[in-house]
Amino acid sequence: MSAMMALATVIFSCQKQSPEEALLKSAEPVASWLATLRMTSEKWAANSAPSRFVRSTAQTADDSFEQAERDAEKSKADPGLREPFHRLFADSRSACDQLQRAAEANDRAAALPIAQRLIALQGELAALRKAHGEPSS
Amino acid sequence: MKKWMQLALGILTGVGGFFDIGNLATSAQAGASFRFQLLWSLLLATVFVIFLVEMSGRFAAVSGKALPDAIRERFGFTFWAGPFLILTIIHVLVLGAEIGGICFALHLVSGLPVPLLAPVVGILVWLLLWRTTFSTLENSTSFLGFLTLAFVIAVVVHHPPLREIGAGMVPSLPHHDPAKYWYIAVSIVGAVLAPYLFYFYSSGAVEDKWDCKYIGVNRGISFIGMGFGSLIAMAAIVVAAVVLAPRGIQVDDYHQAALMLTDAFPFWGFVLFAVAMGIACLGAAVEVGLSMAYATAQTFGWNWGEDLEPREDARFCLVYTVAILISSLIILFGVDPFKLTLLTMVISAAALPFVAIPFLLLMNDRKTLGEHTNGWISNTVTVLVVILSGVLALVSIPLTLIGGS
Repeated sequence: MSAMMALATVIFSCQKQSPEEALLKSAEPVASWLATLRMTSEKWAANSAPSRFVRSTAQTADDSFEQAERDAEKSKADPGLREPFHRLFADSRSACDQLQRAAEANDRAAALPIAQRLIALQGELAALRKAHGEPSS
Repeated sequence: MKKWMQLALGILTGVGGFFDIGNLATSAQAGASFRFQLLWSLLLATVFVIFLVEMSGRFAAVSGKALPDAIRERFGFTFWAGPFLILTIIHVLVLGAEIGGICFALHLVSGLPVPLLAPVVGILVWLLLWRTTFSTLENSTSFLGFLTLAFVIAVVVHHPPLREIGAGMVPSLPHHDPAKYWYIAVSIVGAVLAPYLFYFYSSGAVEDKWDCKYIGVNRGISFIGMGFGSLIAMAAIVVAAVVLAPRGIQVDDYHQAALMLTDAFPFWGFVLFAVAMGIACLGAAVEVGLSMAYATAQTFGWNWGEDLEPREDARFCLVYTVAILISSLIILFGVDPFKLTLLTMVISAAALPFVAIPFLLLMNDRKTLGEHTNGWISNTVTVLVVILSGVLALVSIPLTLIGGS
């Protein structure tokens, strides 16, 4: 038991992150959810996914974006780093909301333009992460 | 029933029973995050599970007793009380994860919220256990479980790079995110070496009245059934690696895995995923519910058997009824099924020593098994499982805190 506590302590001390690292870390799920929403939009446009699935996926993604946005707001990272991330997270929420509304209206024609918007956001996020030393996956 | 028919049925059970929510979640996460690099952990766990399942079946066939029954008789209640308590907690958590999986599958096709579906699913699982016999349950869920072969067909459709798949079978260090890599590796082992599998399998062998003549059948079921089951889990890793990873999708929620079959089957992929997930989880939920009732009844020396009328083994039926109720409440109160699944798999991996050590002692007991005790190969594998499980127990909790966040 004490060995496990010691191991946990060592791991935790190694894991302590700076505000900048924490901010970059919070962008990881955002990148993954943007990719998910893009795939969902494309599959929806191709009639491979039903509207109700698109709606619930967008809802779940929005929770993740909202969390990232809140974390960015509270972050003590340099404003020069924090602001572009915060803006991007807010834009992601807006795109997510657009997809959710389109799915509620069963407007499949809107899917591909939204996918294009998501691709642009993915590109921006990847560039921002790369500029600050994170892999762009 | 003819032996070959028993063998075929057993293999079906093995395939249908192997792939459950734990395998689906960990495979999707492994493929999406590390492509083929974690195939080795599934391969390693498969070798171990084949040996452990074979041993639990052999034990039941030779002694006519299921594992908890034998452990209590051989080592006493005090020895077994601790492992039994841990096993009970794992049973409830796994059952919660499986019920959550069925709810999510129904959510995919109906759009209804996952928590709201929990009471309906709980009643469905309970009715299945209450109304049907062991062989009906075993055969129906096994045949329907064949739908999970959709993952194998998807692999054929995708033509994945065989050289990279081969390289993934050999353990290697991660290129990124080491905490997450080891966390998923531990989860995969926990998902494959699920303790309930051994208790269910040995109790099922007793229900089917196996004797020494079934040792060959048992060997066939263990090797071929578990091997095929593992093939499906490997296929899920490969599909996630070729569909989700290149898009930059990491699986932290079931929504992110739900479209993984739509590249291979553009029209049916979504429904196929939902049905395969629902059926795999339903089969596993029934097995876990039964396994918990078997373990509890055998521990306390009560009447037990799925083929008995509920009035003949009322306490046995009460155990699975309460387990289903608690597990359904976990989902009803809004616990995320995906997070519950991963946490449960890690706890399952950490609990392995409590399963493997009594197993090792029992399988070397000449008084009970006579000439059918373990040979050196089986003993070596079990010792390796004990060592591996000790290491897993040590690292799994810190990994949960940092890798699973």
